[in-house]
Amino acid sequence: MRVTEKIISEGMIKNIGSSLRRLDRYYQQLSTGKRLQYPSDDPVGVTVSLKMRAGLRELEQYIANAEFAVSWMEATDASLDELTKVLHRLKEIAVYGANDTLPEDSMNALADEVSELKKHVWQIANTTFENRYLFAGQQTKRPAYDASFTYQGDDRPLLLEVGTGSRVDYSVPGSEVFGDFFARLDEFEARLRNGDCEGISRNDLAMLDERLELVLKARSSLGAKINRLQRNIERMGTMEVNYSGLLSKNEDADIAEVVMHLKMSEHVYQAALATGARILQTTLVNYLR
Amino acid sequence: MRSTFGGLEVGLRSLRAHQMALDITGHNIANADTPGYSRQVANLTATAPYTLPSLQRTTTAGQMGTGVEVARIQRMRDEFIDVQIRHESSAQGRWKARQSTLEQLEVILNEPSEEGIAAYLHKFWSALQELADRPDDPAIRQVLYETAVSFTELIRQTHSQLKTLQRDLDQQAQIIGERINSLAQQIAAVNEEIGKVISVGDDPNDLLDKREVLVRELAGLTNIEVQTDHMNRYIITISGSLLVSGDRANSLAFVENPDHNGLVDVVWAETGTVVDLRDGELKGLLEMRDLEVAYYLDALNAFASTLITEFNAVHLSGYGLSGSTGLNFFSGNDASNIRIDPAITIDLNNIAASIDLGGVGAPGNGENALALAGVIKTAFLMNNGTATLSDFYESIIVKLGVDAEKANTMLENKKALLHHLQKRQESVAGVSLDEEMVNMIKFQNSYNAASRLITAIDEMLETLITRTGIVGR
Repeated sequence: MRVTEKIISEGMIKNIGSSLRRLDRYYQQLSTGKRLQYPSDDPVGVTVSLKMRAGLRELEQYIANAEFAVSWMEATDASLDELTKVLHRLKEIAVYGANDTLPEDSMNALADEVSELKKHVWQIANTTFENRYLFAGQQTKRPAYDASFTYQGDDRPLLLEVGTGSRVDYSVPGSEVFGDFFARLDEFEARLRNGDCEGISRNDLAMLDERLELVLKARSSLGAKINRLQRNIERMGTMEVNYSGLLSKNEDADIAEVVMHLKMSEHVYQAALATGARILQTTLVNYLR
Repeated sequence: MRSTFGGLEVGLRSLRAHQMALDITGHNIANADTPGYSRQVANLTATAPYTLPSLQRTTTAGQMGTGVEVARIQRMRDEFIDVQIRHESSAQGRWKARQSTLEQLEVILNEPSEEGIAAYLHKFWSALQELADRPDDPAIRQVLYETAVSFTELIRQTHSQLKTLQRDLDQQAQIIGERINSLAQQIAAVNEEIGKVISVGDDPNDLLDKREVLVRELAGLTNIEVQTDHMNRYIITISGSLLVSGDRANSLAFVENPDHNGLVDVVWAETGTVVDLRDGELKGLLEMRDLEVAYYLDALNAFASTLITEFNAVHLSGYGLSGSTGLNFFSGNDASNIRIDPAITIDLNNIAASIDLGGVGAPGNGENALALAGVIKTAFLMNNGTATLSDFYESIIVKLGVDAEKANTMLENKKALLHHLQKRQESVAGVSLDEEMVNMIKFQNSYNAASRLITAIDEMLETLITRTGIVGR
């Protein structure tokens, strides 16, 4: 093939251009740290990236949801723990009260304590978490029990998602735990004041045992749910780490590799410039007198 | 028997021929860098010899040469390569338009990133999940509202950028069309000059080069077929319709098409029929305007309108914090006008996070919020019930990625091919300074030698005229 100066110079311009484009690409990758800038950089990789980002955000949200449910249930459990303590004290009182050797004064003192404990139970029933009432079912903005000890909540579950299509009920409705407890406490108090020891041993001891069992049942179910959710959170946390790793592997530039490519491109560019400078300088003209 | 002064004539012819050859060399050197220039070569041939052989002529041998002349100034060019170059220029022009448009689409859609529609869609979903967790929390409602506002703004902004891109392509197509008209006229004018030169029997080498440059640019803009008439004038057609015929040029015109949002149709100015474009930059711009950008606009509109309809349907059935129901969340009907419904903007308690509980309000009920979140991620609403909104948007991005990657590769390929063809043409037509230098020395020496010949004959004649016959004086 016949070669002219123009062929050489145009080839050189083209090669320097593509060298520079390559350099620019590697510079971009290095300065952004990203391998994928545009969908066309790697359409398949970008699809994977989009799916992973979506998956990652889902995981993050489901973890946040589960953590919220766990803290809610832990607050519920703490209240129920308090309630358990009160129930134990009430049982002690009932055991004392069932004993007909106590003088009337002591019986009245016990009745006063029951009255106070009833108020305490009322407070427990109206515990809030993030300004929401724990035991009011879905009526989260109203105290579960009003001043006259009437239940104002409902039995509807509090639901949230901890996975696609996987819903968790994290509520313990007051009606389930407290039910008619306040009325029963009133009866208990009245029996103490009346010195009805027999009535106390016949009714209230059993009533308190039942209540205690109810609370324990609610707490063990809560504990099981908390455990399950925490395992979920842990599992999703691991997945999140894996996903982030994969996403980074897919999207981020491999710095060592890019630097190597960059260095290589720099050499090629330098070489192209150097040879160009030498070839373009000489023609026969340089050697004619 | 030859003339006494015949040798002088031979010398003179040699002087003339070599002077001309040297001039041509000079012309080549001067145009070494002129785009489209083809090197010219002096075709030296021996002039017709004299005396036919005859019976009387027995004493001298053979035919006697009479010197040299430049028979033709030949333009060195492979016209077959020109045809290939024109063809590939058209293909390259089309891919250039595709590639640059797809590149702009990639910038507009801005994926993968934290600021694209995909990311905002997921943020919106997260905000709905948060609402389901705490349906009675005003702060969460505020967050959801702000997220939804930026989401809808982004959709509207993307839509308007796509529209602008479509308008830009329309404008560019008109500019390219005007350029085609101007080139057609210039080619017609050069055709006319070429015809004149041919008719007096000369080679219009430089005019041919000039015309080829124009035709090559034209080929990049549209598909053309080129034929020549008996005067070596080009007859150029676009898919069978005449653009240039000898010294006459037709022109393209642009008619706003009311059925096409006022975007223009490219028609023949004379007949008003639509130009059947098959390749070249103009075709690329028009198909990008009418197919690709239109596809992304349609897809974005489908995305937005499905979002509006389906999201509102779920929202309508739900209940707000203060018992409101039957309200829309989004207003508008496509990507151009999707907004948050004023009913929501006025009072964020109207965001229907709860389901129907028989008229009983329940602030802690977030089940409708979960249903709303489901509209975005789990309900198969797009592509005949096979894809979620989120899947659908991803598929748009994938298509863009594949198309843009293909366009990048194709453009690179076409460029490389064109470069190769140009290199081959340059190998035939290009000026090599080394060659020209050698020729220069050659022609100069020949010229000098011819002068020397004339001097020699002059001396011979001197001897003959002034010194011969002294004996008889």
